[in-house]
Amino acid sequence: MILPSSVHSLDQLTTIIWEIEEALSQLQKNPQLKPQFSTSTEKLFALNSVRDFTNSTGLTIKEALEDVRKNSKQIHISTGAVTSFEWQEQIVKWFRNEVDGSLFCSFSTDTTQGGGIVVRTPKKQYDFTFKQRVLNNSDKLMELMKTK
Amino acid sequence: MEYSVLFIGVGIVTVVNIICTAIIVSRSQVMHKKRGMTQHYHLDVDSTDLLPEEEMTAVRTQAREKMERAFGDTFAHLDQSLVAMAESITLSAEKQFSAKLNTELSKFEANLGSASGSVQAVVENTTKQFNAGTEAMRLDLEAAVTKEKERRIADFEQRMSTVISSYIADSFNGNQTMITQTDLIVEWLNQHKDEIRKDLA
Repeated sequence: MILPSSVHSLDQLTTIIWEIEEALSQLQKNPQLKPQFSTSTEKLFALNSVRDFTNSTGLTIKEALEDVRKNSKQIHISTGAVTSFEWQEQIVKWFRNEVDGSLFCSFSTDTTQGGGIVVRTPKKQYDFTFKQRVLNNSDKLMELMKTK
Repeated sequence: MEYSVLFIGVGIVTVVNIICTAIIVSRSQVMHKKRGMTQHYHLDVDSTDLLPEEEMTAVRTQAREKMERAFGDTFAHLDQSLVAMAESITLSAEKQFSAKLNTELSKFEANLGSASGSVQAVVENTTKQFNAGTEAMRLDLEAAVTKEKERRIADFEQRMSTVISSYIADSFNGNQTMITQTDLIVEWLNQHKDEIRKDLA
């Protein structure tokens, strides 16, 4: 199952699964009905070549997504400023291409950390903030202060 | 104690001398009496028969002079003995006193040396303890100063980095900040890609 970059959190995945369950429920009542889906769900269908949403394809996709949710890995990214949805997609895309295709990311903002990001995995924290960069180069900072 | 013994000894010697002198004088008088009686007897016999009064007087004078000379010799001899004995006693007393004095002086010097050694040991021990205490205090102080220095430097670096990063963040506008940082952030992520992969594997 290929996930679109716009679906980067488990909450979003849960929403998509709920949408599919609703659609399946409507189809049971009325097999002629053509269910409507959100943009994220439509993108998911497009990436996985789902052209007609039937009862059987719906059930297959739902099971696959539940499997993804069950076995997924999640990281948290803290940014120094409020980020746009596009920016978040860009970062999630990098993680899915370079680290794990089924990785989920949650985002938060912490203005006290200055620029950069902090990545928290279940085991470790990676501090890519400007503040940490400055601290890592404290010797240079002291040299600059002496010179000035 | 030693002086009292000495005085008692001198006293005993003096008494013995006096007694000896008295005995000698007494014997001389007895001898003189005996001799006088004989002479008297002889003179009596002779005076009545042989010697005139003048000669008798001369003989008596001569006898008295001899006796006086004998007394004089005896007293001179006693005087010499007494002087010699006194000198001997004085010498002996001096020797004993000197020996005793030397012994006491040696004891005093030994005690003084011992006391001096004890005082020196106490002074050395005190000095050593003082130096050890001073050294410990110096090390503690140095450690405290170093610790405080490091704490202040770390604190300064934290504050400075916060100031710099806040300044950088405030120099841009919200979302624009993260967009302009994207390339840099992706570069940092690429540098730690393998590490993150292993972490999530």
